[in-house]
Amino acid sequence: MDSVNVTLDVNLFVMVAVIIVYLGAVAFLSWLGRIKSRGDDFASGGRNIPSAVMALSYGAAFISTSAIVGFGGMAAEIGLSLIWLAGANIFFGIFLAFAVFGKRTRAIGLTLDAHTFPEFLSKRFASPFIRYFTAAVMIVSMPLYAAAVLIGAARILESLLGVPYEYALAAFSLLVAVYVLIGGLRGVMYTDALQGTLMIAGMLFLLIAMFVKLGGPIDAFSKLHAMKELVPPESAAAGHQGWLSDPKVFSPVWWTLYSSLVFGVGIGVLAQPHLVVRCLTVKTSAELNRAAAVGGIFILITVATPYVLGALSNVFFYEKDGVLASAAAGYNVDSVIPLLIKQAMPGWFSYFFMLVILSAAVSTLSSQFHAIGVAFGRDVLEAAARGRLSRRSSALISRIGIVAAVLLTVFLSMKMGAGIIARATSIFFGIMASGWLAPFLLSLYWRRVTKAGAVAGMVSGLTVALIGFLFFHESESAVFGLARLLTGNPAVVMNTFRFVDPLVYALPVSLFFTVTVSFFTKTDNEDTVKKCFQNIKNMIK
Amino acid sequence: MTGGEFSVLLGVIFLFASAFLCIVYGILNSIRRRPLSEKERTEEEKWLDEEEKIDDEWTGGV
Repeated sequence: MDSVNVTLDVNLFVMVAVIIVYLGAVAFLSWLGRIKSRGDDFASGGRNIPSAVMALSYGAAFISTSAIVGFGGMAAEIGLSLIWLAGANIFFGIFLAFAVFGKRTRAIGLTLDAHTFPEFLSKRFASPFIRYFTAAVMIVSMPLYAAAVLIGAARILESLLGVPYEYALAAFSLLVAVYVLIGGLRGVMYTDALQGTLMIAGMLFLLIAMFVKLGGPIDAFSKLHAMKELVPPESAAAGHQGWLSDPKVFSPVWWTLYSSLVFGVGIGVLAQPHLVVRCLTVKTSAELNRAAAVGGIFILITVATPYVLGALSNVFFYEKDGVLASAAAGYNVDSVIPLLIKQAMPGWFSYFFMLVILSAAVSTLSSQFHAIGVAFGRDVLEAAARGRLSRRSSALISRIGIVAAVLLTVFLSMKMGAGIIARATSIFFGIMASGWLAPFLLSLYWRRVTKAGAVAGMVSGLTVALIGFLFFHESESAVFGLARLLTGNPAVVMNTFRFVDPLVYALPVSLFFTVTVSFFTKTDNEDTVKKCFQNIKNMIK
Repeated sequence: MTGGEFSVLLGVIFLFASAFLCIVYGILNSIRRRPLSEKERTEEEKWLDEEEKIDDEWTGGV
């Protein structure tokens, strides 16, 4: 693989000044979060976060570096069919998450006084086991996801600015840890809102500048359409049909696109603990309506733009150097967007892009660290203490949990290979959605879902997803190596099934067990459930 | 236009339709379109009072 230099041409003095201003703004917002917070606010932000802040925070936490740089680079390779993922992000991740499920989540969460995702499920089903189990899965798997974001961000700073990887890693972790510890969820959400705004501005500029560079949107897409004859033969064999076309139906690329990305990430977002908890932070359900509007615009700009840019980067590099984007980036798709910024954008934009990347990574990492820390502090230690802790002690324990989460994430970032880290995001999304999506959504709509049904759904979904990741889905099973040990192949079954994301079969299994077991068991906490559903009627307007 | 290109076009329509849905839903549900009647107003006030009370109960009136 050719090595491509994507270090941006930046002036060190200006760069340091820009970073200091950025850090100053982040420090101010964390401090603001701290002075406005009280005891339980550390976990749930005091339940009076403004709708725009909540929506920007949700979006900024959702969209990490990998969405901009990773998926943008992927669009350079497979084309604009990734736009289905952006649509799914808005429809499922914003509209359904806020306007439909969010209101019920908030109403039930308020009734149960739940501040975290594990606490919500545990109180809804009257099961301490569910709280410990959910928190344990989060504590074990979420640092992998956080490590993926941390490594991605550190590698980008390393490549853009020439900072040594270890220094970039340490600086990132320290920055995020300090402001999460200071501001709690309120501080995280305030800083997320700032970072979300930077991301919107950066992406809008990129899109407009790119269209200007390529002679306007119509010319740009016409040129891209005309390039379909240039699809490399090996990509065409895998199902690629051009950058303005879907891959061949049921081809390996098609399965990856629709089962892992559109279905896995697009729908899987509904069961992500650090995002669900944001619906518990607003004062009224009407705030969620407003948040849907802001969130829809945010995702439209920040997610669709990198996909369009990634696809159009082929036109830019072909006109400039006569090569496709992936070839220009040394066949490393992660370098396509940074290289495009370096070669197609004005020099001053490098500073701004650096802030956009920093913002995307920091906002996701802060939410991850906060979620892991609170799962450890509030959902494990405090729950085990059974109410013997004061609110102040609870926040302190959560802060200790955050420090532990940061240390574990940094350790994983230093130790784990690039192969497994690259798959960590999809594994975490897959695990949470496979095991928790069905019981969680049913808990919002169906009174009859029982503790036993929820546990059966979680355990079965998790088990099937893990089996899928370890043995059947080639992207992950090849990294873990168990399938190779058993069969000598990267996946146990070497037909098209190896491209099907485990969520596709784990979610129906989880749904089946949740519903079936609930039919044959009784609800233990009928009064609480009745109160929850009564309050849903009262609170949702 | 091939089937694959048509699918991408549908994806673009889905993207903008979803964003439009979010914006319109958010705006329509944030704007009160006509003054409420006395009976509706009382009902809504009751809901708001109740919700405020529940919020305060859990958050300590933050």
